[in-house]
Amino acid sequence: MLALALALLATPAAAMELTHDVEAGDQRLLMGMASEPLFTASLGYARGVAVRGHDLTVAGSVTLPLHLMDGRHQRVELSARATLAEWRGLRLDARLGLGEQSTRSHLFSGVSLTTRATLVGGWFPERGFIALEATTQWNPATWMAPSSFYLDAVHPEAQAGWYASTAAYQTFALQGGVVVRERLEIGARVGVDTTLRGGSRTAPVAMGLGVGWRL
Amino acid sequence: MRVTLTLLPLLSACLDLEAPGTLVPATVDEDPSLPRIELDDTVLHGEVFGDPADPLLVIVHGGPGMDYAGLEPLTALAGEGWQVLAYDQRGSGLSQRHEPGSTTAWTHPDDLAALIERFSPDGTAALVGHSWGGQLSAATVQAYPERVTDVVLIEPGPFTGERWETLGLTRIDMSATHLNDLFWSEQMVGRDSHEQLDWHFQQLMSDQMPGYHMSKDDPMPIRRMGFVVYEDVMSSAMEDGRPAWDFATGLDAWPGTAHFVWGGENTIMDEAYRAEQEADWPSTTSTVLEGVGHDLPWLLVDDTIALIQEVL
Repeated sequence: MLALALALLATPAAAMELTHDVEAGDQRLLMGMASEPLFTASLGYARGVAVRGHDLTVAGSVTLPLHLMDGRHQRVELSARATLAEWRGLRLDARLGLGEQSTRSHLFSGVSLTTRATLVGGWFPERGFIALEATTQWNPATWMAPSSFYLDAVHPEAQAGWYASTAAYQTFALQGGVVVRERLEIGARVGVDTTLRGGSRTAPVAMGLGVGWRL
Repeated sequence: MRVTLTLLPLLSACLDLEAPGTLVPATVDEDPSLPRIELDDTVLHGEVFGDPADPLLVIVHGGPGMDYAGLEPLTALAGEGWQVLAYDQRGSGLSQRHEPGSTTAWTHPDDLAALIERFSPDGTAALVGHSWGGQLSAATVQAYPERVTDVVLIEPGPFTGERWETLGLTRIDMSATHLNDLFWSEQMVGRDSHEQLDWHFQQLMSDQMPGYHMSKDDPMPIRRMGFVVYEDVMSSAMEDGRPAWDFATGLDAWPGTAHFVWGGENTIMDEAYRAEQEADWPSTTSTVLEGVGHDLPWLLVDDTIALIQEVL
């Protein structure tokens, strides 16, 4: 119940994986909310796996707008996270996420291929962490199809098809988290969104709160 | 490496969102087949219908930034003793785009006066303005009273900034789903070209004000919502962040008649607003068409044409 209450108050852990350690065999249920700048809600699952002696955290998440819990828009992402370097409590992790982001308005339907590469470096002691994060997000291509309304009332020659990327963003954030109970951890991040391509964001602020529940 | 090499040809085969006509319609400078009117420093999408010897009637569309597609049926007045000019205002619809900062609210009356001078046999015209087109018609009467004989104002926007604030047109409906459409698609489509900005603007504006009671079954067509010209016009008419335009002062000295047409279902432009708007003019007629909202000239074409013929 406590986890659920925190999840309702909080932001995407699933997408950001605001978790402490997911060792091989561990499983986490991740819930969260974020500002991207649209407020979103995420639900995810992460599992620690060992691959040729290296620990990886593999995860999957579903994200959608929190406002009206609008199912016409959603993002599904699969990711893998690995530790690149570790010395005493200090750690540098890399994470790569691939997925799709879809949208459906009364004007267009669209599906983007998404890539998200993250470096997280910081201090990861026994029961928490504090780290700096740099994330690059790029949607390399988007399938877009105009709605019948758009074709009828706006632009009859509008073309459905794969459109080249017009947007890429970079986020720099501070993130941290604590293990609250044996099974429960919470995390938060705050930072800025900068534009690599695509014009300035409506609100260049990246915020997130997340809850991880050890299964 | 293999993945990258596989992806590259696929990505290079993608459509270009900024290419004319792919997602947002091409403008007159991009499509030579479109009818055009050249002014000194811009090219407008537009056409003149009817006998050049007949008195001129100009259709003035809404926006700012929209186009005359939804008012095109009114060009049927060309067979009724009028020469009818329908055009997309500077930077709007299929007219040539301009860079930010090059247009103000007062550029549009200058353009309209220049068009009247060019096409009218006697240098005057009657104006039929819808929504923002009603405001632009008032601004043209204010700046060029000798050029305008009559105005038909269909659901005109507020003639003063103060009235705009009272109307609450800038209030965002937080329960509307199009806010999600706008912000979610920001990660898929950028905002650094005219085409992308127009695309986003269309998403934002097309379902913004349910109080206007616009039909969803038979939507009033819009070819392109010009974001840059909208921003230019609005910012030029603001002072200290507040709307400060005044297209009303001086209208009381104009000798013509303003004919108002209202949609009975529009809950934003209520009776008090209508009375205020009409009070600015010395001579008025007023008609409320029941059962329709802000898109009445599209839904009730025959009634609108009959009404215009009756009052002019």
